[in-house]
Amino acid sequence: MLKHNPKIDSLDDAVLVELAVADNNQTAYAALVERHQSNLRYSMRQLSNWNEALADDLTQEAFIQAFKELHRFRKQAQFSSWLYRIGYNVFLQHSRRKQLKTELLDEHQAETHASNSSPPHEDQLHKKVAALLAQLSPERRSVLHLFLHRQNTQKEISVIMGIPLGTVKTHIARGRLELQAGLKAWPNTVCLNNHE
Amino acid sequence: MNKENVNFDNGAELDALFSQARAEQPALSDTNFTKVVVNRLPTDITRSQQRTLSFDLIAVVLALIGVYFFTQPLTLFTTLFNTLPGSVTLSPSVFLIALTTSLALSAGAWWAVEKKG
Repeated sequence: MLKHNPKIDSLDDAVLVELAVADNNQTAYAALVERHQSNLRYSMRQLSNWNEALADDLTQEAFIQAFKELHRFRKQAQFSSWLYRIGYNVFLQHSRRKQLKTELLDEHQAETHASNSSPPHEDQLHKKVAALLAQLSPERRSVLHLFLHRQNTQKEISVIMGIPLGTVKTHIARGRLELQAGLKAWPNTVCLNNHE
Repeated sequence: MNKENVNFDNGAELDALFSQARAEQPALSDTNFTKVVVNRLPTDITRSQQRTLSFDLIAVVLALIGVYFFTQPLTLFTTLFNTLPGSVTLSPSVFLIALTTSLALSAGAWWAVEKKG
């Protein structure tokens, strides 16, 4: 059973990384996992068209790869951004390995997993956003998620994803158009349940 | 029940949709997830890499010491230098051999860094 250690929990990401690398301290790494899992799991759900099981598998894989590569983390970088890049690469590898026709397969998987997940009305808004993003190629999907949801700047996205700034700008310009076209194809009015 | 109607006509609506999703992002933390990740972590991965690096460094230092004591460094350098060709004719076959060698070395380096590490 993992026990919370208040001292560990209060440390900065960079210090936790140092502890995890130097002493192979799994408690320190567990604190990093605890701290960053929510955002990464959400991002993976958005990238995988809200396939919760797949998203959690990819997130776990990302954390394990991050642990293996932890000695390469530079203190100047944000741990969350570095982790997202690993997560995105894991997602991309998965997409390529399975030779996903992302939209169709993701839709099918999302439907399959919807039944055993949290109540549908709670996730409806997020599922709709994920379904909208699923129209885009994996790279463009990730760029638009970082730009529109995480509100990263174009330069930050370029660094996080390791792609040229020009490519990021192109993805954002074309991706927005694609998303707007996707929205128009939906019913004119969508009811978003806030509180019931 | 509080319902918000959103009309999707232009870019502003797209931003509004994402803004709302951001504001209502669920907290997905759970201890069980952390436990699963920690249980799947490889043990001693960092230490073993450091040990491998140390062995590599020791081997290189020993090799350099060996070269220094058992050969005459200047002679070795001259011999190596003399083996270099004075001129190279870039025929198609030479070009292909160079390209293939370069690609093989690059692939080997990539494999060593990405797969083995």
